[in-house]
Amino acid sequence: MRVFGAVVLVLALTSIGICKAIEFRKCLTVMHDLILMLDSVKSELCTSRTPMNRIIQRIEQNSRGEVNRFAGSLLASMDRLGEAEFSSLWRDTATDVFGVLPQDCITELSELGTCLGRYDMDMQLEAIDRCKHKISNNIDDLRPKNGKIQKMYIGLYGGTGLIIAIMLI
Amino acid sequence: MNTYREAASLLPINLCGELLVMPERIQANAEELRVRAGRPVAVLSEGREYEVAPNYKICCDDLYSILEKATFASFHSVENELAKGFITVGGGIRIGICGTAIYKSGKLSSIKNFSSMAIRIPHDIIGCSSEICEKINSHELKSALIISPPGYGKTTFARDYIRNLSKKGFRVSVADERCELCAVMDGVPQYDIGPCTDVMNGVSKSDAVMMMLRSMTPHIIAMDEISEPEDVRAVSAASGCGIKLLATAHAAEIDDLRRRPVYRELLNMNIFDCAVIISKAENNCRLFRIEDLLK
Repeated sequence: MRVFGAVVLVLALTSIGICKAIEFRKCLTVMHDLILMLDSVKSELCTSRTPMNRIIQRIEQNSRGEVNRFAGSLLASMDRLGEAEFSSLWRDTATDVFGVLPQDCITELSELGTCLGRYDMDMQLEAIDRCKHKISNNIDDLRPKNGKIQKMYIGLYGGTGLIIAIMLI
Repeated sequence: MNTYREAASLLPINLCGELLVMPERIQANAEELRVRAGRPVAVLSEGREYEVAPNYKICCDDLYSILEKATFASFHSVENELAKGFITVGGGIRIGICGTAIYKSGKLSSIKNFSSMAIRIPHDIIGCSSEICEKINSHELKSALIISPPGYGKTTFARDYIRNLSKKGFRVSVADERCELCAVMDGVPQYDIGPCTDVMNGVSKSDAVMMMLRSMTPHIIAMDEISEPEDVRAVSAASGCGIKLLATAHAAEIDDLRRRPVYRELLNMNIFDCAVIISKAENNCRLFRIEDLLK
């Protein structure tokens, strides 16, 4: 019985480690997708000066995962324009959807919402570039460590489980 | 959704509610919603302004959020219109904007610190030009000039005239510099301007006429008020290619036009076959008179 319990404990903690590793990998994927999204926004603004609702609609149609969820939620929340400012709708949606990202990325993304649709074209493009730069820096920091960090999570949680299991047995 | 309701929905929700409970008569005849910082909202109807929610004074944030809602948080997409002091939104609603001008390289580029807005509620009158259009073009398509003092409905008449010609199958190209004739938004005219109408929006009349002459093979080119010498040159070029023209002008009578150099030149060129003169009767009804310009 004890052995069974120990095995279950090890498996449970190892699973948590694997989930953490997957979440970390997901964070990198989301950051890549965000860069693509910001490139789309920039192109639409530069070439056609497309209104924000159309830009977000196109992003929703052409994206996946968290970015798709972000675009869908933001589009739905734009019915509340007038009651709430676009910047607060953007910030609230980004905070809800992109919880997997590092805090500094979320902050930069939220600040981008205060510029989009409000300032002139040059300032909007600068703000987009700043945000992209921040996210790219995060990707560059984390990508080399990707494999190691995933193994670390699995090892740490699995190891902890094993130690507790041995102590219990 | 009627246009009064659409216009009201641009305002903060509490004010929208107040606007929608105004008497039916005021709503039906409403021409504009006047929104001024530090003042209550007012409805311009039947020649006077009716205050709405007198205890609620509009602030700058309200003016900003009206524009943000009207443009879907996209000031960048209405930059050119903003520089002209107005934007066009769905349903043909036009928002005139006052504030502090921003200049870039000596040219007016935008407006900031909005101080007031006039949300114009459109009233399209389908069929107002049908009889006149039929009389003028009974044997062949003719060039016409629509004349009246301001506020008599020249633009409404011209729009219906365009619709009538387009429905008869004539290709009409519209040079809509101030987006008043067709109120194009996101590429879609907010008025019914007929199945054979093409619109060049927000560009000078002279540029629009030359572009459409070359690319749209129009039977007739329509535009709002001709005001610059370049407009006269463009109109002359179009006429020289056998294209008919429809334009409007501010004047009470033809003789008033002749006193203005731009129109004197135009009339001397015999470009327009006839003029449609709009006047008002005592009961405020519009009266229409056709005058032959080539006699």
